[in-house]
Amino acid sequence: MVQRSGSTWFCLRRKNIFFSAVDKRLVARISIVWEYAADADAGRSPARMTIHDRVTQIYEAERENIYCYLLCFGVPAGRAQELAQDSFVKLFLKMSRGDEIDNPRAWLFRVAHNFALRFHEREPAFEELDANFQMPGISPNPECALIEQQRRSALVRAICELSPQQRNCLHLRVQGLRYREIAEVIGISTSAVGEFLRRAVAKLKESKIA
Amino acid sequence: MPSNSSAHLSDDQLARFEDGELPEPESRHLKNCTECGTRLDDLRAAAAAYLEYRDSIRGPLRPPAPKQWPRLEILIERHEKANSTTPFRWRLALALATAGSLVLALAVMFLHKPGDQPSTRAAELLTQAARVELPQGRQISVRVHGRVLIRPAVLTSVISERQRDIDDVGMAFTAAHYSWREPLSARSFQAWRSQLKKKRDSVSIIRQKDQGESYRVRTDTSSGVLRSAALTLRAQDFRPTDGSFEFESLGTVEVAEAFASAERPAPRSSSAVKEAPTEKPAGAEDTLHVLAALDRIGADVGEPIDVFEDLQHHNVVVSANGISAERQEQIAMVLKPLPRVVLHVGSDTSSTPPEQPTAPEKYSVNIPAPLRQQFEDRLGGAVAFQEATDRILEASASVVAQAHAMEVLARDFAPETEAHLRAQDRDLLRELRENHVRELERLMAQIQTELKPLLAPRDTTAGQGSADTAETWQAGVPNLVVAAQEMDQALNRLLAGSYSQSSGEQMLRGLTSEAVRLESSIKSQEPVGR
Repeated sequence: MVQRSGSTWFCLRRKNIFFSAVDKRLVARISIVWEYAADADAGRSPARMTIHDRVTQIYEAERENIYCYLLCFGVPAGRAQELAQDSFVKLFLKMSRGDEIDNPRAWLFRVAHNFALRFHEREPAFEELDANFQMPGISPNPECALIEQQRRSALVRAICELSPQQRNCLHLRVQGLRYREIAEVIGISTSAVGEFLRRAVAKLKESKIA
Repeated sequence: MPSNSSAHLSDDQLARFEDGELPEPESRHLKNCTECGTRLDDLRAAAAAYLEYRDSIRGPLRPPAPKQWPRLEILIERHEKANSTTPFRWRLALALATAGSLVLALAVMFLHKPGDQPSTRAAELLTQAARVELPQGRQISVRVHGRVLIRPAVLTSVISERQRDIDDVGMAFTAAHYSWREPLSARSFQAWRSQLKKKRDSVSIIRQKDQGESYRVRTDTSSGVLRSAALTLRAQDFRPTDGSFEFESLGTVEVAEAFASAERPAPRSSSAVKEAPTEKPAGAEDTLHVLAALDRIGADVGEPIDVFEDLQHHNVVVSANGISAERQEQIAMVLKPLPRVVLHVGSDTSSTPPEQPTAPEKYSVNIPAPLRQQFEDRLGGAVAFQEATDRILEASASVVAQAHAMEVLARDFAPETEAHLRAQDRDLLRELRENHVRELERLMAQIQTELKPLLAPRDTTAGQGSADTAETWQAGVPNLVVAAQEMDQALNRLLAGSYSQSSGEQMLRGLTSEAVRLESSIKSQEPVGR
């Protein structure tokens, strides 16, 4: 499957794409994950790309995601950016040594997770939230704004009720990671990932969010 | 694979379908099954809801990256430069320190007069302190933003040097050209001070009743990332006892001799309750004594507490998060008599309720009506069924917690480690194991009793839970953990899950063998001769 996005072509290696019916933007994002193909204008194939080129592409596509993931663990912005950059340097060094990495993206999340652990010198809670935080303004129409505000408040309350592990699993899932990759990132079993997600879905369903 | 065409996909199969890893015959089931389709839709809807929350609600509030993202080649270049210049930097720092010492020594010899300017007095004190031989194996505590790191006063190993690269504090020291290898040292202070073009020194005398007199040498500068550094020198022997470093971006970093900080009243910080490292490295017996102490107050099972040796194997670190102040006090109390133990507790326990990730979420609204009716009839009504569900799932979660406690023992006390323990420590380990096994047996009996009305009489061919045979008790623990998790999963699915009548009946039948397997794994953990 090949999909055109701006001036860049992405090859999708897998037939079934998670959430393909849910969010087209996500498909575009996931497509970057699975296979970094050559830039059409440059006319190069992945096989002929240097490691530097490959890591540069991954770096440009994923640095914000890794940065945001570290922020979710409460790492301050400046440090989160440094650690995100360090993750990519590590990736480059590892690939330069000839080490095989099946999914560089999952690998980066794992490194970021470990950085977050080291930063806190403990198991940090993922997304410690306050259900009463002030949400950004939305619609100029007061009536629509009120309805939307209520809907969003319900969504925030529901997400707040999830455990940090459940939020972490959901976060990585919407980032396009497979169950076993999520398990590797967090350091738990695949069945535990399934259980966390199952409970998260049940809770959101109970809150009439999902 | 579903055993027949009517069987629904398991959670694992649904996950594999979404990941594109489910074989075609099983994928076909989804097209025709509304129940599985609904479950899949629920999962997708949950993900879509989280995506909206992340991108539209939380996203705008997240701070953007503070700096522009540099190009990858610049990052790699920086990394290579940092690695290649590190040894040179140490040599340079040492050379500067030596040269600085000589220059200052000469200055003291020729120019010193009592009551000189503060800079001369500071240089003199530092020179005298730099000559002092410090004992080997000192430990220091580094405190920044409530985090405390206990480490050797002098980093020597390669691992420790690498550790510096990923540590924000170490990087700040390196950027300031101040030795992170040995921060609590007059020589390091001199080396940093001597390279400053503009500086202002001050020297003060501190008199404390119980600790005698000390000098506090402080240097402020307007250049570089380290704006101010202060070092306290004990007057009797010029030994540096603590230091304070004010960084432009990082804030204040406090460094102190670790045992010294335990002797005097430490600043009240929720992240460091006790620091009592000594010169002798921590060993397996220290970890064992910590676990035994925690076991006495039931804190070794089901609580967010980690016990591990620090990187340098100097201390056993007990890390506790999200526990109440009262519990913190209890833990601190039982750990107090033990040497080489550092207790770290989470910084904010007042607003965050303890996280119980394995706690069952009990509801049983999606059990097919006939099966639910059957359960209720056998247990004596809807209320009785709900209460039994609560008790069973709680007991099952406790089984998993106990199994994890056994896993910790097996991890920390491998056969060769256990063999090197003293006889009394081996007995203590055995006692701990016995406690866990006893509790596992009690919980299992409770679950069996609760489940008895629901299950068919046990098939004699299923066995009576004869013990698994493993060479060592440690080798049997992984089976125990897996059996406990699978039993917990099966119970959660059966009593609080969503499934069809036929799947429910199948799960009910499978539960007996799950229970037998878990019983066998528990039996295999019974110490010999019990």
